[in-house]
Amino acid sequence: MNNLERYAQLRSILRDMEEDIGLSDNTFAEKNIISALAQLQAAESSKGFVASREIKAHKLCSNIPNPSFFRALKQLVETGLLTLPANRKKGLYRLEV
Amino acid sequence: MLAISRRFFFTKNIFAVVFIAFCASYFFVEFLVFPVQMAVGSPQTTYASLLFLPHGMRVLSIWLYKERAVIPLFCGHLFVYPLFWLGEFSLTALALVLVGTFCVPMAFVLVDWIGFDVSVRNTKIKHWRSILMVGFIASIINSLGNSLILSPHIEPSLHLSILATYLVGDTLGVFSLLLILLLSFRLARKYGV
Repeated sequence: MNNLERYAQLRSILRDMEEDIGLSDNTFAEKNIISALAQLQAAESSKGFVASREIKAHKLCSNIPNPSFFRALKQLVETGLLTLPANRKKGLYRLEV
Repeated sequence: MLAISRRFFFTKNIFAVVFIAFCASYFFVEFLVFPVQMAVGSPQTTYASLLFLPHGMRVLSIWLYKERAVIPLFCGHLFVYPLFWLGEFSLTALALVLVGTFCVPMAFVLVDWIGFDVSVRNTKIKHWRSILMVGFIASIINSLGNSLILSPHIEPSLHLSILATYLVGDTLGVFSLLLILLLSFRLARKYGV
């Protein structure tokens, strides 16, 4: 496990804690996308970018309606929590650690 | 044997992070928490802190770095225990250092042995709560070990209260450390750092 993966894990558990103790600013869909992406990112080797279909297929996001899912993705990109690849290739996202 | 010993190999970065973070948290307890405890007049202060951040640091270090954090933690304990607590290096001091270093790995082994998966692969649990639980189990091991080693030096009437102080202090230490990290990241996010 490299340092980025460790950092992603730490951020993931702190976000869970934030949500549990009521300090989180994110909506339900956004929180689940963040948690799902943190776990997928730790397992991925493609420089940390994960495809949106993989995020949607994750257990935490599979029940989120598509419009809510893509709206939350867009919101997270706008707030800077998720980033897109440099070549702006569609459908790839990375949790900004 | 070589494969087992390789798991304890650490880089200089891991050593620096774990050693410095552990010692820094001990300094915090020594210069901030203990004076407050002494002012309140707690008789257990000589033996236990009510907010022991270093325990949180050792739990988090082992959770993040696993066996690689053991030797840096051992060195950290070896540095701070004689300096701030025991005053001199002796067999008693070494025993306390070993208990402090290995209480967390033993807790993780125990949890694994009873079949509870606290790794990130387990998506059914809240990992911060499982870290707290492991911290509590490690605290039991630590407090029992310390009480046994220090029993000739502790008044019998204080044994139970010291045990309780260890449990409360260590568990609060884990929770407080996670909270401090959480608030630090929120601040960093707020100011775009």
